[in-house]
Amino acid sequence: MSTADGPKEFEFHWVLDCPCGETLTGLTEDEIVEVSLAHLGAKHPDMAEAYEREHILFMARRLIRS
Amino acid sequence: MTTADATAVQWPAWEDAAFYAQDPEPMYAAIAAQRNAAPVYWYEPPGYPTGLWILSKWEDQRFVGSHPELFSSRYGFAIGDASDPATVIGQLPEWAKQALGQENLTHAERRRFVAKGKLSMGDPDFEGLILSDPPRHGDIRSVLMKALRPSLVRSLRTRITEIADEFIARVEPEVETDFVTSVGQIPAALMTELTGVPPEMRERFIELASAQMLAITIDPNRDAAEVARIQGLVEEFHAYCNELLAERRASGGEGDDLASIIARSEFQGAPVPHGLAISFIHTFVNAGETTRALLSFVAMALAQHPDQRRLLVEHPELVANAIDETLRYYPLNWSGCRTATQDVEIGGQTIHKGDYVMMVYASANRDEDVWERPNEFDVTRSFDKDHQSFGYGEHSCPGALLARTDSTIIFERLLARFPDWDLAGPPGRWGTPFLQGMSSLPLRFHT
Ligand code: HEM
Ligand SMILES: [Zn+2]
Repeated sequence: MSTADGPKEFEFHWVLDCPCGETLTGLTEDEIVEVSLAHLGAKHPDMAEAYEREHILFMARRLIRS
Repeated sequence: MTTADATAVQWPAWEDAAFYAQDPEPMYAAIAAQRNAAPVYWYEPPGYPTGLWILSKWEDQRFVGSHPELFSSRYGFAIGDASDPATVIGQLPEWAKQALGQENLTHAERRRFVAKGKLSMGDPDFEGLILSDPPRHGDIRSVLMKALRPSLVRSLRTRITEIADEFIARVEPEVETDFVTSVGQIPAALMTELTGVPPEMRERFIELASAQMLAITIDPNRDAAEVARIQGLVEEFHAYCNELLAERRASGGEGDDLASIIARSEFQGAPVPHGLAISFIHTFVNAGETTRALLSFVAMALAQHPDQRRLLVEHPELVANAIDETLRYYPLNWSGCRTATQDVEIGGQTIHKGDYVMMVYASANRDEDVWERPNEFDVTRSFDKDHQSFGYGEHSCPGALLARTDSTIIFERLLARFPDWDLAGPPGRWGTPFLQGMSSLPLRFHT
């Protein structure tokens, strides 16, 4: 059920501000989860286990992209 | 010579509350003039013991935010912290007055005593995130992030919706309603409940937290009566927070409210020290106030742009985008400051060790290199890059998720109940050289 489609006239992407300051983006739900898990694994290995898909998707915002 | 001579635009008086109180249009024109001519600018505020660097560009601010080892947070976080201590000493507690009396202090050390003094409410052991550096900063922040963890914020959605509906149900259509003290009260109601403030004390707590917002900006121009009024309220606030924490510690901190969570948390293998725990309680209660300000700007912007409000009614999935556009357009924190830990070059200028550096978030949010049509409010704007209104890097706002969650739910509910509203009178804005907010926002809602 991953989709980047909003209403026809807007293109969305997922944006997640990691508390370390880095901004992560993904075009689909799957992509933002993947990018975030990779970031967690590389930069915050101690926290990686605490974040599941649902938490990542909750923290991510669905914003308009150009 | 034409009348459009650009030299007519005066550069900002960054230390002066009056600069921020003027109409946004000339204010942003002054900010843009400096950003374009001198993006890294050494400014000497009248009456200050020394100058500070003004960073106007988004890119430069990102650099500073991502290098806490080069730019320390220990020595002040707001422009007023660099005031001549003699002019603000009356706003500081006894321990800070004594500390400032020592000889041979550097400008940076003086700023630290002023900044910590105003936050501490008389308690020399007070320790806040905003004045700490890594690695200790990270340890402190992880205690807070455990309390405000995403799973908790997520689980709050139902409760936020209930409280929002309760407040919105009290709003009557077609009569003048002050948004700030009606719908604007929702986050404060949520935060006092979450923190564990007893119901009969919540209203007073909210009043006191509002005064605390003023106290965190030191301002040499504040008159004595206002200083005394704020100090009285802040002391009462501090006393209530102490009481709440002491009560939770005494009872073993078993509850699931935030005060209990802090009471039973550990910091570096021991119970959270008192000065730190109390700063967390302040943070929780203040969170309602900052979010109130954000909501008020959203409501005002949507009153002024009915076409965009209608778009949100048709496309509620755009509400999150509208919240971020409001944050970009109306930052609550005009700026944030750091102190260089060594000589660093930015934009061709050498910033020397010990120099104070101010990132003007309000300027980065209108930076032409990042934003198209920066002076237009547009809820459909694309956010390929983030605004600076929550800061950036290790000190970026840890409450951003909660603030965005609150605001999005509240506006989804409000737009569903009242698709239409307009201004019933001029908004009452308040501002300091560090923060802005609204004291009143008269609206008329229509079903
Ligand atoms: C609603 C709108 C809010 C805005 C616009 C906002 C803005 C900011 C900004 C700009 C900073 C960074 C300061 C700097 O780096 O110079 C910050 C830091 C902070 N904010 Fe927020 N904030 C908001 C809400 C909240 C909430 C809801 C909470 C708590 C639940 C919170 C707690 C904090 C704390 C503790 C810091 C210090 C973080 C650190 O130094 O590591 N804020 N905020
Ligand atoms: Zn990170």
